[in-house]
Amino acid sequence: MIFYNPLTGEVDHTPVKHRPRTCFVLTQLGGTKTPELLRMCESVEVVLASRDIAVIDAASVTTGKDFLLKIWKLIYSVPMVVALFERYTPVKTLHNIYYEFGIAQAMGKETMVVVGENTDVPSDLMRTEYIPYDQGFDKSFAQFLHEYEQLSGFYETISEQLDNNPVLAMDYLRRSFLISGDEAVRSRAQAIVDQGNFDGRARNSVEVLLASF
Amino acid sequence: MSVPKKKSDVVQVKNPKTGHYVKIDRAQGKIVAHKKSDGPYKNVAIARKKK
Repeated sequence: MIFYNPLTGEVDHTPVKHRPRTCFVLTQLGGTKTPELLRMCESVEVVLASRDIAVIDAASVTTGKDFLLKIWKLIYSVPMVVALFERYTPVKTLHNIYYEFGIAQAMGKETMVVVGENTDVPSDLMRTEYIPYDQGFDKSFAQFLHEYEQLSGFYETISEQLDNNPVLAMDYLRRSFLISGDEAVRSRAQAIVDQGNFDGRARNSVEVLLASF
Repeated sequence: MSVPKKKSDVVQVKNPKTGHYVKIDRAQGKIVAHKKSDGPYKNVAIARKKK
């Protein structure tokens, strides 16, 4: 994947550390969280932990560099992004959540919106299925995760059919690896590089970077 | 004399996200069609994950 640095508009050639089996949560970080939002965060973490999926947010990593670039790279590094908000979420926070959620979808991440009671959802997100935070939440979210985990095999199967398109095949393997964490998938990407006779390519060329997950 | 089977150039895989099949053209190296209705495409081999 070609990653454009949002600060310079140039292609970023820096390898990104991938975080398989990790969910990036978009929600209110500062200020006082309502009891409902606290319950939503806790429920999401419990269901993810039951499937051995780690949770990170924007405060989990400190780079000492630009905050926006950090968010972009964190989103790029994970397979899944979940947005959590409710009717008392501050407007500024909502704007950031929507912006980052859009980045995640543009990067091909699996996404889910979790909304509190009586919460309006913007029209662009209405097209995305969302889960209301109610008594059936744990079951609905677990069902979403079950379907999400099936995608790993789907991406792998597609990559196997793309002999004539090695860069795309590697990208599907990268997405599969992020979901499953299966090390064998990494080896398959490396095998594509080896078979592709990419000797002599720059270490930060698109194909070599892609295979370096 | 038996003729060796030619690997299909077009195969299909079910997308678990949509529940619908997608058609992949192996020669072109891309997904070329998304089925809108249930069930697989007729006369198109279903690709399975290699072990």
